[in-house]
Amino acid sequence: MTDQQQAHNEHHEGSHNHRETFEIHGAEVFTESHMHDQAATVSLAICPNEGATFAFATLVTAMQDIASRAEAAGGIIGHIKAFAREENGAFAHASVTAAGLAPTCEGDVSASFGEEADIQLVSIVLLISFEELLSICRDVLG
Amino acid sequence: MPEKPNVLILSGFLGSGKTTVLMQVIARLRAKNGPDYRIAIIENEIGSASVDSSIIQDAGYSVTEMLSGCICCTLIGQLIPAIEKLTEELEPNLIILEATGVATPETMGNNIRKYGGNPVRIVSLVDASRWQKILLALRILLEGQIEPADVICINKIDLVEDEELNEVERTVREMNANAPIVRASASSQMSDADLDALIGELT
Repeated sequence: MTDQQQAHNEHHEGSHNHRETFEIHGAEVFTESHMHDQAATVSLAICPNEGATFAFATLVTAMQDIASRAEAAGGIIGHIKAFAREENGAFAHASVTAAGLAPTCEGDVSASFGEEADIQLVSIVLLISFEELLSICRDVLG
Repeated sequence: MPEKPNVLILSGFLGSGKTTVLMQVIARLRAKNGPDYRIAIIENEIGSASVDSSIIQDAGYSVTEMLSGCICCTLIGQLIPAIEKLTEELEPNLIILEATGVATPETMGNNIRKYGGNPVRIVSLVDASRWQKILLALRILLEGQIEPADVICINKIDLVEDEELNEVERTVREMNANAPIVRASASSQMSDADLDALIGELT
């Protein structure tokens, strides 16, 4: 870690790289969130439980819900992106840049992904706190 | 020590289409220069995960990630070493750096030129469909992204009417009087001429 990074981290102590884990139906969600200037960033890694699968369509719906709630809270959506990939190559990707707009999707968005899959949801919203954005994400997915 | 490659910085607000344009730029460079043309990609994200990296990797390209910070400020000390390492290991013809959507490219460009010795070209993207809304709240950030650009791509023109598009271009021009402006809808395939306008004389 450089001196600059250490100084930056000390300056932002408490607001940088907040981590927590919560459970949703059939999966565990690992979160990392922080503020960067005016941008609240929440990164979620979704890990399906053993034997369970997670439908990508759930994320697509969640993204739209997060966008609506974040804008209602006074935020400006930067972007909300979801990605899932199985070891066998199956993948899906979706992106939202504003509430009320259909997500841009690629791959097999109707697919479900298992415990070995890489499933991510990253939300960046400006003008709200990361605590508020994380709370929105937790409520929407839970 | 390998020759210092050119660096193309892709800048622009979150969701403006940087990754979409990046993929088309890569394809155009390969078409022009052949499959042996080596491109190294650096992805910068303020989040701890980069969805864009996964997309680019899935398309068959290798990506160096710089996460959980911004290469114009918090990660600035890591940028030159990352470029030097890529140069040493891959000997790329070109390095493309996709900055996070809240980055301003002037400092990173100046640092790369001064401390890395690499020629730099800054391409800044504008999301025509959200420009007016974002401008109201985040003018200083947008100015920081547009002012230092060598070329500006006004993207998502298919989502706005001509009158609004002209107003977007007018305000962009106020921020940068000289850079060429390319109007595009990158969700469709951009023309070779438009992509060449973004790439410039880098290759």
